[in-house]
Amino acid sequence: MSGEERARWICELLRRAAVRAPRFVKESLIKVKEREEGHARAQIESILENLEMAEAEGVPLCQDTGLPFFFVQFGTDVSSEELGAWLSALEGGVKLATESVPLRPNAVDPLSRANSGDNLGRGMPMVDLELYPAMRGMRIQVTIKGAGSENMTALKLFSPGAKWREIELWVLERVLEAGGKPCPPTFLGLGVGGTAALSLKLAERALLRAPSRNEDASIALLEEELFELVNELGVGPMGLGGNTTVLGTFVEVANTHTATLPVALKFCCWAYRRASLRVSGEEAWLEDM
Amino acid sequence: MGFALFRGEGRLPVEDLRDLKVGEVVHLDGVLYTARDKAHRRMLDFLDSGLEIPFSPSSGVMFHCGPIVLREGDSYRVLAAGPTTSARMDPFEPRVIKELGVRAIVGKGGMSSDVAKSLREVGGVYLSFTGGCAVKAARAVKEVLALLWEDLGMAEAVWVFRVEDFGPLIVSMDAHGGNIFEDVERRGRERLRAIVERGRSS
Repeated sequence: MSGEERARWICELLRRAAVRAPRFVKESLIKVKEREEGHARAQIESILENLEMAEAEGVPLCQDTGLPFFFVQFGTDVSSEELGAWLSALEGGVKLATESVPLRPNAVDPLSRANSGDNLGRGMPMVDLELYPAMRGMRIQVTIKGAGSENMTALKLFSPGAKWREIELWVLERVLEAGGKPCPPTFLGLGVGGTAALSLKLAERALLRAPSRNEDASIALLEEELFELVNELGVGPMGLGGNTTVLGTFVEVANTHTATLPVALKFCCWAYRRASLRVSGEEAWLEDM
Repeated sequence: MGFALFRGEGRLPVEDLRDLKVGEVVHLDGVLYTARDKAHRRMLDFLDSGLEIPFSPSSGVMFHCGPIVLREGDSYRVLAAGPTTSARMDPFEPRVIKELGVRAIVGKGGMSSDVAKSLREVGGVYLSFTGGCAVKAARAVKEVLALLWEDLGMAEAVWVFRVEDFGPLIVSMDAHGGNIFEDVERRGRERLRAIVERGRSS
């Protein structure tokens, strides 16, 4: 496959993410609509109607097309040349997608705030690489997430003796504080343990796992408990009140130093946009999710 | 130029913004000015330095939005134009309301108590459009009347839209101190207290 073809695949991956919400997002919205009435129900109805319109017109469902974040998983059968070729195609793919989807040019210099115009520039696009020994070929996932929910990210270094209950109440406080700002109903990713930086990464990975529950049954139970409690708060769709404040809660855990307990919370708006490209040798295809 | 709000199926016109109460649903016809952080900052800079703002904020509705717009020859096509988080404009909005005469704001997520106070003083309202519903919003844009402060970039520039039947908009902060977001937060705090208590007794 040529570099140009790879860049075109990346462009199509970004188009899929921007235009069509994953099936689980749509399904959970349809489900919660039945539990709502009044304004809350009207918000969900607007959201579902908007999803249809975006798909029919082939245009981004939300004007905030975020910053592309690529999660690349690869098996041991992937050569470093092949991996390198795909990584070098990411930039071209983002540039192409910015023009042709189009994506909103969002990447700015953090200090001068000058916009690069093509979603590229220093540190862009963001890439997370992980070797999956059991995997054959590669999976390139991308998320594009608006800043409204990213701005609600929270990190706390708890005392090492803190119990789950304390963490849970901290999450509830953050959700109340965030109110309508992150475009609820949201998805929550909670990273517990590691270092400060790792806890944020865990929170990111927890979100990426949606809609699956944690494989560890005891943590899956905590995810469900958190889900019920957050929805008890009644923040509701768009913060206007209602039964649905979150569509999903995901928790990832790693061991931590005996003297600390980092916890990170990441919000993702209802418009959880993620798409996945599978690569096997010369073949590539977009995965349904 | 100008704008009009309507209620319900019969499109009953709202005569005075002061008549609106939180919880009401309205639709909008008329002029929207998109403005985010940078445009707000520049409006106030112009005000401070006596420069003339190239549009008349009071003649339309302030829309917290950074759209995706396609240039097609001499014209523009709005593809996606949902609201952005209004709270970022909290530091600027009281002056925009009081000194530039803005009476209606469309955004998402609500605004600070200072903004609420300014709205109360002048008889203005804050209207919520569903966040993320960008294509639905774009469909209501019938015409791009102008693009101002283009140097701020696509998302931060001031786009002047003519919209028809733009909505549904929920009146979330009214001219009498009504504020849905405050109500929801207060109730949320009560529920959180109940959750804490329940944990203690179990």
